[in-house]
Order: sequence, then structure tokens, then C-alpha cells
Amino acid sequence: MQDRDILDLYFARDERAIAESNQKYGTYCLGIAKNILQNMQDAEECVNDTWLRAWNSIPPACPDRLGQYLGGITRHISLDKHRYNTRASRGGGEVALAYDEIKEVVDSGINVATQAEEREMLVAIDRFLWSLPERECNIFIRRYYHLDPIKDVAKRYGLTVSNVKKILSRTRASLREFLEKEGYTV
Amino acid sequence: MNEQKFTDLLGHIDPALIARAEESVPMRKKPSFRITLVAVIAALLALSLLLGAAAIAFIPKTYDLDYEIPKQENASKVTQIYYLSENGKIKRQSVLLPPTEQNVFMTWKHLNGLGDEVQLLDVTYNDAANWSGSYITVQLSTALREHSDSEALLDSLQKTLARSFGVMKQNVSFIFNDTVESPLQFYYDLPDAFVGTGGKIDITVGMRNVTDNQNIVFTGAWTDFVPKAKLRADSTIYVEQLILPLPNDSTTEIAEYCLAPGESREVTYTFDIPENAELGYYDLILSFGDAKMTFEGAVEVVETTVTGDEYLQFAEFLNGYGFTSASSTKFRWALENFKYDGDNVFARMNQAKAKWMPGYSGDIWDGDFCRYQSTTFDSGYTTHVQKSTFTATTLPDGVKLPARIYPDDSLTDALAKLGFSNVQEIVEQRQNSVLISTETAYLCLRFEKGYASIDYCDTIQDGDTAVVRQMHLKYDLATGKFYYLYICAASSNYALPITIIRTNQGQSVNWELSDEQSLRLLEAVNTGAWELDTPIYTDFTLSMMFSFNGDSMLFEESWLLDTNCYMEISSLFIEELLAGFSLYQGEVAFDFPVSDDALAYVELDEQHTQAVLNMLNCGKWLQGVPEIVSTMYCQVGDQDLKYDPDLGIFIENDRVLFLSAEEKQIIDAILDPYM
Repeated sequence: MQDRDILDLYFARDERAIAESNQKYGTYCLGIAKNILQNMQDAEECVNDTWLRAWNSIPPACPDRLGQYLGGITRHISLDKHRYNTRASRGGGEVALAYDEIKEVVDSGINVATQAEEREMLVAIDRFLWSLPERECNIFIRRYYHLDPIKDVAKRYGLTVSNVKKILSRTRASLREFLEKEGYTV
Repeated sequence: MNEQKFTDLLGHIDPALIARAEESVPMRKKPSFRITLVAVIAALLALSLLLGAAAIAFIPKTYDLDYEIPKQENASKVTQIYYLSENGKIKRQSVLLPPTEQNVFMTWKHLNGLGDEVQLLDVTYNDAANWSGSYITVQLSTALREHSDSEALLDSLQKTLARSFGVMKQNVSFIFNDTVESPLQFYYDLPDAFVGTGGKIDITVGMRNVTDNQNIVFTGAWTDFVPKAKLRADSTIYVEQLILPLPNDSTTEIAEYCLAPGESREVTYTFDIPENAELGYYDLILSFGDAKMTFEGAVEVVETTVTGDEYLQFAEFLNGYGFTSASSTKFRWALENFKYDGDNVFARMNQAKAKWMPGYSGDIWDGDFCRYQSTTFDSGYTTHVQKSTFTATTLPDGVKLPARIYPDDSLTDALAKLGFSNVQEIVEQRQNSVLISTETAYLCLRFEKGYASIDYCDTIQDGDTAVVRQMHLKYDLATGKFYYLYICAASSNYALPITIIRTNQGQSVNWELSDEQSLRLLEAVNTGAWELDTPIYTDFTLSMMFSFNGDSMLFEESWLLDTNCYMEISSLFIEELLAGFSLYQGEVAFDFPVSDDALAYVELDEQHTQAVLNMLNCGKWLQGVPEIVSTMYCQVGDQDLKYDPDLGIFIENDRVLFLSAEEKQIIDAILDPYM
């Protein structure tokens, strides 16, 4: 089923919207969740929650890209779940490492007080990402949106692990500099 | 805003960016080295090498890169680069750079967003030694001609080169060829490495004649091959450092060198890291006369404090350096340079160093013990490693470090290394396992891919968390007790932790070794059905392992079993699992070694007095039919126990007994506890 037809079901409050979303994007969302959670049971739970949140948010939301919209919800729920799971235990795997890396960007003190300012900063981040060469941008997104392990990113783009690390390190430094120039840091 | 919130925020970036990143990427394996040949007339060096793949990953606004410095005065000059913009128009960008043809070409390539397949192969002038030749012939890889915007791109390149080198635009012509591979290849060994300020790093470089039947003769002097390393951090800072020493056979005399087909010649250089080097990633650039290569390997300058010998227990590995959390990875490793603050040990597994050190190549599992020794560091050496945490522990009394078995060890040697020097009998030897008995133990050793993997860990307690791949049991004839011999971590991204609810001390287990696999005992979590007062429900936890594409995955499910509950793994369950894997693998291809994991199902009777645990060979799923390879009968509840002193186990009518807590207490009172 086409995305617009699925969206029509959401807008018509037809519960088939969930089934169709699951049919089309279930595996995709499950992949995102498993990447973060490393646990099938938790991942399935997050995917189930995704449909509920999608149902509650569409309408009024009307995403242009339904797959990425649903994947974003799954990502958000999975990260929350991951934080809950790892609160009491050591380690944390891939997500913890990604946090450590992102820390370099935020350590200068990102100062956004309101949701409106957050949205503005997000627009700026979009601008930054679009300004990057496509490969560097994709690598950044695979790492920090999809939370792919670095070795998987390296394999995907035919690069060495060290090369990917360098690219990410440079991109993070540039993002930090960019945010400073845009006035988002203290 | 903290890093977690920022990461959350990244979840709302432009979906078009996400969609673009999710597009399939044609997998192209980067060749180990790809060298193009550029004709240079030089007295001392016959070959000059350019690395077409030395892509500029990111160009800062100032374009102040580590460009190739031309032979004449290394003056950068403003160069106009013409490139194709997004709207299809040709734009011009002023760039400050040393004006070699490669620098100009690479900048042009970057601005056009072109990939590694577009290469500059050759540039010739009507006066080869003169930069201001009237005609330029440029040899390019065919990829540019095949590009959808080739006409506009070539037009922009023509303008760029003409403007850069002072010729008429129409006098710049192009030839398209495939990459010419040099018969003489330079290679290097610069793996990822961590090194501290004031430390040293070794790099091996060499040349190899890759022809089948052609000697390569070239003249030169090793002095011309003295590499000059530049450490450059993130393209903005670099420290220039001269290298020592020359190879042993170096000479200042110009001589003729000949490499026979297949012959190589190499030398290892030691580079010093300056004391005041800033922490961070560095690239190494080595020059050999007129040849220059940028090595992909990175050196990260870090800092730690070195301590002395310690016993370390690997608690977990964090990802980033080839390991994944709670995982095993095959690699050669050497442990060096770590800090122990009384609680945590920060250390670094130096994959690079291990290649030159005699070391162990195999799996490291969570819970493994390792003893660290170093004979090479000096007390003033400081390095710090991020993102790896190890928990140091004092080994319990009487526990020895596990031995590492090498593929060419004989079975007797292997057993001796494991401490079984008094092997009385090799009861049974199979393809991948052996059952032996000694004076005090009756032991099953499971060999995996040439290695015996036996590790002793006596710190497993109820409530501990471990990732289970397999458990091997050791039975002590003297005490009549079985113990966990080791718990082995699972690998890959899908490893799941389980909580050990009950240790098996005191439990009796009988097993059979089939021709296809050794026994794998799966933990049965009993919340009450195994006790004297039989409850209504029984929890059963099933762990199963898949191996595919060289990786393993541990999958765990728990069920609550009721009266007459028959739980099995259905084909639908497997289909759902396969569907989940397909997202990652692209296509699912399973390879189940026949000796690999088993699934199990449990049948309980109405009264929950007995259970049958059937173990199936997972490999048989490929044929669609699970096959039971081992069965254990479990007695539950109050039964008369019979202890067979010859066999040293508790049996009743050939049934295996899982003892309840109360039963265990009774037995413990009879026998002396182990240790």
C-alpha cells in the first residue's frame, strides 16, 4: 500500500492503518529498535508502542515520509527504553558509545531553553548536514541517527574503521564549531 | 543540553537526509593499495606514485590542507577551481593551495562531489619539466566519462586546469584509461594504534614486485627513501617530525636494486611522538623520494598511567575498537599500557602491536582472565585509553589462569596446559570434543575450531548476569559435585544477557555425546515446580544460538508452562526470526554447523512431578525437521535418591535428577562441600 493510502487510513481513524504500517514498515522499525536495544523482546515492545504513538499523532501530523516518521518514533522510544534498561547496569553498548562521541559536540554547553529554540537549532543542524558532502553526511546519520556500530558504517561505505572514525571526529568538530558560530552554545 | 537529549534531537532531522542515508550503497571493497603511475623524469627515482584514493574527506573553509608540496618554492597560490553546482551551472571557487596538478584535481573533484573512482592518472606537457607547457594532456579514469554530467564536468575541469597552469582552454585535452597498476607496489603496515605523548610507534613499509616474470630494477639510495612523517590532527594542526633511523643496509651510495618477481623488501621505522603532541587522531604521511603516500591508518595520541603486573578479568568490551559489548571477537591482541586505580582498570587492547608480537589469536570472552605482562614499556610512558574498561580482580586461591591452546599443540600438550597432566583415560575422542578422566575429574573438553576453550571462573553466583553461549560442566569424582566450568559469551550484536537464577552446584547431570555435537546444557529457570511443594506454573527459559555468516546470535525466550504444557519452536517462530534478520543481512544465509546449538522443549506432566527436556539440533532446521539429539529426564519433587558411587551421580531409573534446594541441603550434609 502506498504511504498516502496508509495516511488516509490514519486520518479516517481506520485501525487498518496500524496493520498496514506494520506490514510495510514493521521490519524497518524493528531493525532500528534492535540496533539500539540488542534485545528482541524489548525491540518488539518498542515497535508496538510505535504504532500507538503513530495512531495518536496522525493526525494532526501528516508526514511526507511515513517510513522515516515511524522510524523516528521507534528510535525515540527505543532510546528511552535503552536509558531505562541501562540505568542500573554497567555498559550500554553502542548507544553509550554514541553518547560519548556526541558529548564532544555538547560539552561546550548547548544553550537552548525553550522548545522553540530547540526547533530552531534543529533547522540549523539540518542546514549543517545538507552542507556536508553526501558521504560524510550519510556516515554521520548512520552513526548518530541509526546508531550503527562504526564497523558496520565502515563496511557499508567501503572504508576502514579508522577512516570512519576520522570522518566522524571531523564532522563532530565542525558541528560544534558551527553551533558555536550560530550562537547555540554558552 | 546533554548528549542524550542531543541524540534524541537528531531523531528529528530532515527525513530526506535519513532517506538518503538509507539508500543502498554498492559495496565496493577498497583495494589494499591502488597506485597510479605518473611518468616522472628523475635521476634517482624511476617511479613516482600518486594515491588516487587519498580523498579529502572534509575541506575546511580555509582549504589549508596538507597538500602535496611542489618541488619549487612551496608557495601556495590562489587557484580558481571551476565546478558544477547543484543547479547545473558552473561556478568558480577561489582556493589557496600549492599548485600541483594533483592538488588542483583533488580540490576540483571534491567540489564536484566525485568519488574515488574518478582519478587523475597522468598529466603530460609538451615540455614535461616545465609547468607552463603550451599543451596539457590529461589522462583520467573512465569513470568520469561515464558520469551522467560528464560534459559539464569535463568543461569545468578544462577551465580549471587551463587557468591553473596558464594554457589555453582548448589546449587541455583528455584521454580516458583504466587505472594503470604499477608493477612495483608500495605497502605498509600501519594499523590503528594508540600511543602516548613521548612514546613510539613502529611502522613497516615495503616494496613488492607484483609481476609474475619481470625483474624490477631501479636505482636509488636508501637515503632517498627516508620517510618523513608528518603527524596531522584533523587537518588543522600538524607536527613535523623527522624519522630515525635508516635501515641497516642503508647506504648513501646510489646503487641498483633488483626485485625479482614476488620479491619484497621492507623496513620498519620507529616514529617518536612529541612530548607536547596534542591528543587526538593523527594521520601519518610518508614520503619516499618523489613518491608520497598517505596512510589510512590513524594514530591516536592518548594518555594513561602504566602500572605493573595485574591479573585482569575482562568485564566487558565497549565498541569502537573491534569489540562489541558482551561479545567475543577473533583477533590477535596484546594488552598493554593500563591504569589500575584500585577499582577499575583502564587498558587498551592494541591490535596493532599484536601483529608484531607473539600473541594469542582467538576468542576473548567476557569473564575471561588474562594476565598482563609487558617488557617493553618504560616507567615514564603515559598513555590513556578511552572507552575500554576492565575490572581487575585478584584471582581466587587455587585458581590458575586459563591456558591457551594453539592449533599445533598435541592433545596431550593441550591437556597438560589445562592442568590435566594425569590424564588417566581419554574416554572418548570425537571430532570436536574429548571426554577424559583424571584422578579427580571427569571432564568434557569442547574444541572449537582448533582451540580448546576451557576457562575456570568460580565467581558465578545466583543473580549474576552473564551472556550465555554455552556452559560446560565439570564433575568431581571425589565430591560427587558438578560445577560450572565456564560460561562463554555470545558474539554479535544480538547477544542477550540472562540472569543466572540458580547455580548448579549439587545438581547431577548425565549427558551423552552425540556424533554431531557436544552437550549444551540450557539453563532451566525454576521458580517452584522443581521444589517439593509443587506450584501450578513453571517458568522455563530457553536460550538458543544461531550462527550465520560467521557471527553468532543468542536469542532468549521465557515461557510460563502450565500443566501439560508442550512448548516447542514452531516454524512460524523461525520465519519471524528470519524476517528480522533480513533487514541487516540483505539476504539471509544461514550456515548451521552441525555441532552447533540446540533448541529444547520441555514437557511437564499434570502433577509437575516429572519433565522431559528434549534438546534438538538447531542445524536440522535447515531441513525443516527438528531432530532430538539428547533427552534428559527430570524428576521433580520428593523422591528417593540413589547415589551411585561408581558413577558418582544421582540416578533413579536412568532419570536425571534436578535437586531442589531442600534436597541439595540434604546431600550437602552428607558430602563435604567442594572448596
